[in-house]
Amino acid sequence: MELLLILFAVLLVGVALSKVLKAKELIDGLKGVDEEPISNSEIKTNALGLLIFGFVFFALLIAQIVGWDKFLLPSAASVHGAEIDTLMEVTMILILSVFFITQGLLFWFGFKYYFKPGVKGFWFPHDNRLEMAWTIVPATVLILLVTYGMSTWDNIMNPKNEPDLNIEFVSEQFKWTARYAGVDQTLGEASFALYGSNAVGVATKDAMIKRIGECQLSIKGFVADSVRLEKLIEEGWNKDDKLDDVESSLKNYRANIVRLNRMLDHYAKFPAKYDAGKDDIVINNNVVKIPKGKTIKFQFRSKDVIHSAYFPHFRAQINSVPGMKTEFTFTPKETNAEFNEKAIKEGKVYLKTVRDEDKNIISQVETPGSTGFILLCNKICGASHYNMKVYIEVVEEKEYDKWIASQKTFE
Amino acid sequence: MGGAHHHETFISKYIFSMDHKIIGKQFLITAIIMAVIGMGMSILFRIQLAWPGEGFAFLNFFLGDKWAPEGVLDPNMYLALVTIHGTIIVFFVLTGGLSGTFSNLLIPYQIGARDMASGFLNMLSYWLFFVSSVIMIWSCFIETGPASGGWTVYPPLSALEKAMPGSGLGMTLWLVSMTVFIASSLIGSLNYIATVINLRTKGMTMVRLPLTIWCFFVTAILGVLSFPVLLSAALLLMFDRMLGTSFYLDSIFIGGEPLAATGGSPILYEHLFWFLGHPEVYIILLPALGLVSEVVATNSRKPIFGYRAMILSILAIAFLSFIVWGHHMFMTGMSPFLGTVFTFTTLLIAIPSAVKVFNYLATLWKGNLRLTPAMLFALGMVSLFISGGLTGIVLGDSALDINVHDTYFVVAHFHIVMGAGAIFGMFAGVYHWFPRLYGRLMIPKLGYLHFWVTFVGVYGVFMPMHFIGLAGVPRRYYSNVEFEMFQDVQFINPIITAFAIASAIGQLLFIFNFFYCIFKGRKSGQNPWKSNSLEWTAPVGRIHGNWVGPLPTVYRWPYDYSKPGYEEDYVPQNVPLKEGEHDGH
Repeated sequence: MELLLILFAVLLVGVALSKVLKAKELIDGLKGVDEEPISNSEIKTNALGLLIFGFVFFALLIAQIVGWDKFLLPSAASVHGAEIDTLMEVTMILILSVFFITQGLLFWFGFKYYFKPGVKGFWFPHDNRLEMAWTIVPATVLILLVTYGMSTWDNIMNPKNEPDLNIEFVSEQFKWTARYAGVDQTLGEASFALYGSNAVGVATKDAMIKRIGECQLSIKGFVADSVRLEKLIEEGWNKDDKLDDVESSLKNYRANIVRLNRMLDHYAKFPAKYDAGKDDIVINNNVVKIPKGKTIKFQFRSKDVIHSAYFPHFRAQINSVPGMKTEFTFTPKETNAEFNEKAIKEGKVYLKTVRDEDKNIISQVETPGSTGFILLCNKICGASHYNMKVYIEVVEEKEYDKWIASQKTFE
Repeated sequence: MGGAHHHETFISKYIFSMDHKIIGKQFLITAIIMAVIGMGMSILFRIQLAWPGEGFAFLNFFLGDKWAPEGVLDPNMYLALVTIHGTIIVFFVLTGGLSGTFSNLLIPYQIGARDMASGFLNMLSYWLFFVSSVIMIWSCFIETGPASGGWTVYPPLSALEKAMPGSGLGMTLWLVSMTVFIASSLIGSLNYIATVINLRTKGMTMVRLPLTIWCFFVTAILGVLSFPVLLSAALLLMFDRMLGTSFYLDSIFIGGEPLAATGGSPILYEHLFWFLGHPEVYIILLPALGLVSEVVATNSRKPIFGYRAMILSILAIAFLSFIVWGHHMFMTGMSPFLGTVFTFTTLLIAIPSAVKVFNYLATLWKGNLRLTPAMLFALGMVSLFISGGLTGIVLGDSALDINVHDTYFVVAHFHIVMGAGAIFGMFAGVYHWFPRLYGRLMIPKLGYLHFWVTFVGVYGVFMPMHFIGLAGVPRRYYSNVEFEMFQDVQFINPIITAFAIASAIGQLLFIFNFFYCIFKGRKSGQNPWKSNSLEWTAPVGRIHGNWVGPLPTVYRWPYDYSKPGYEEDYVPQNVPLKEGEHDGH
């Protein structure tokens, strides 16, 4: 199939080139005076072209829809995802029908009514009933579809059940770090003021005090730098840029200490919010586990730029935005093994790829089933945007409990 | 100023001209150059996507050791190319180029005016466009590379120099270029609006205007209402970058430091950007649809079906385009209720679009289709408008958008409907009005070949791309083979790239045809397409004031093709009505 398409493309290039070379010849031929700017035989040829194109186009599209289905995502691995899949099927059937009818008419009319000399077009400037019909019919269909879509969206984005589990992902260039809410199922306060050795900035009292110390140390270093640079500049060295950088760092760290002190004041009033972070579990690993059948509320924060958390197999996506908490709730309904079995049943395949140490591909085999679940970045975020991922393993509850119990809590 | 003789030097005639026809040509030729650059960039990054990590000597030749060491594209340069490709095609080719060329050429001609309301502003509009183009191209040649945050340049990525190399000087130049571009666009649009309102000739009522003019007019209004919002978004971004404000920045930790700037929101930028961004889609599409309407009616030898319904659709699309911007932001984390509202308004816009498609089909039905190259491109545009419009129903539905947002499905959708669709409209326009521009015809055989290569190429590139998207592959990935799950659709990428290269080479046919025929094309005569609209009543050649003697008077709508009671199958607008005859619609 692909070979055929490539050959076709190459053929087109060849034809194009030969025609360019012939151009001069053609132009010379055209210098004779002709009545009409376009000859009738040219029109006829191109009318036939439209018809043939229509057939080939439809045939290739159908071939792709049928033949490439095995490469598309298997049906959803989450409870709400099934709703999306059904809505997608209904929409696809609708748009493909409209596609084949309207495109079919377009190519057919283009062929059937090609120019014949001495014939006049049919005088048909408007018809109110016809226009009414093709306003009202699409309007009705679309309103039905939109109502269906809106209710699906509402069900997904405003889940009625309380979540069983709270998990947070913090995005940064170019990785995700997970934080589980621990025994109390409450994620403790966190802030960008604490990032550093504290990967997701969990703001317990001790962490804040520790961070103030770190910042003071940094400030000391920068003050020394700035004194040194000022001296060099006095001596005529061209170091103004570096001094600007140091001054901006000083400003940043000083502001951060003010921020942390304010947080400590706040802590004095609402200690529970911060103490909730003590039992949180930070997973600094690119594999995380979640239990099957539990409703999980995922919360997202970003350290630097906008990222987007995309779980294609679960039909879930939401941006991760600095300065904001976003969330998406879903319930995984199959373990990795179950999902793989289902994918095999659905006739899906993947390319099992073996690589050597330098990541060169050694072999690729088309294998029934699916690769595991994954969390991708889906918003342009910098050079390594294309490789920012976390593997997700959906496991039975028992196995999950065992796994999470073996992880270290924050404090 | 009609027949008055002006003293014209080369500079006042061809460089700083205030004549709408010359300015139209200036826009067109600048746009062709920009299109070649934009298309060339897409080939460079398509090579990387098809054969990731493989070295190609010519990439090294074009980009040098820094950006393509050993012929392998650098990831930062990949993002830069994607960004500048998008910016150039969306703004410089399809906004500036399309409106600039055809609004300038056709508005005075088709409404029966001697020139634009302000020749000087018109000239200024072109030269600002020129300057902004130069700055944008210049930004590609600086050490840290051009802007690389995607054509939407979302902060904080675009606001923080530490986030990526392209967010340094390259981004500053991008913003400066866009600011100048917006000024150009606004000046142009105001001029178009003033001209259409004030300078219509006797008898040219609003419901006798060709649909081209309706589209240009409404496009100009969209531009005037939406571009200032982008300008403010760009200015605030500049402040954040240069003056230490934080309109778009909050809680950022980058380069190992927590930034002092807090209190802003990147989502604010997205709202401002898309408030322009969505009307922008129609700023691009409407002129293309206008050109297509005219070309389809003329070459079907039939009146455009449902003229008034067409005008109402244009107005409805224009109005709705202002209240759908949120569908670009379903996944930003904005209130789900807003998602519901924007889903509703977005799917509403499908109704007037459907009406337009059905009206085109009804126009073709029982016509006498003169399949000129322009007509084929117009039919191609309708086909692309259908294909891309229908996938819009998937993307506009927030629930479905969850899983296709920012995947290749989106890339395929918008390239078909507003990329290729608008380009096809533009090609239809160039082939059709080339005789009006240069008094000559383009070579039809080359035109046909150009059409087929491009049409097959476009569908060959973008139809398979939908499937990559449905397999879950995100857009703007430097390489799609990092994940085992996407290996199975990688074989589609070389196919796409092959079609892209073939259709890019096919454009040489057009470029040759265009420039060759400016000088050597066959003489066309005054009205080669037997068209009704006023531009074909003006004498061949460029004269100041367009018509010798008094301006034509208009007695009828522009679509009296094959009207019963007339021997010829066309009746130009300046032919008086016969006794007892009704104006056609």
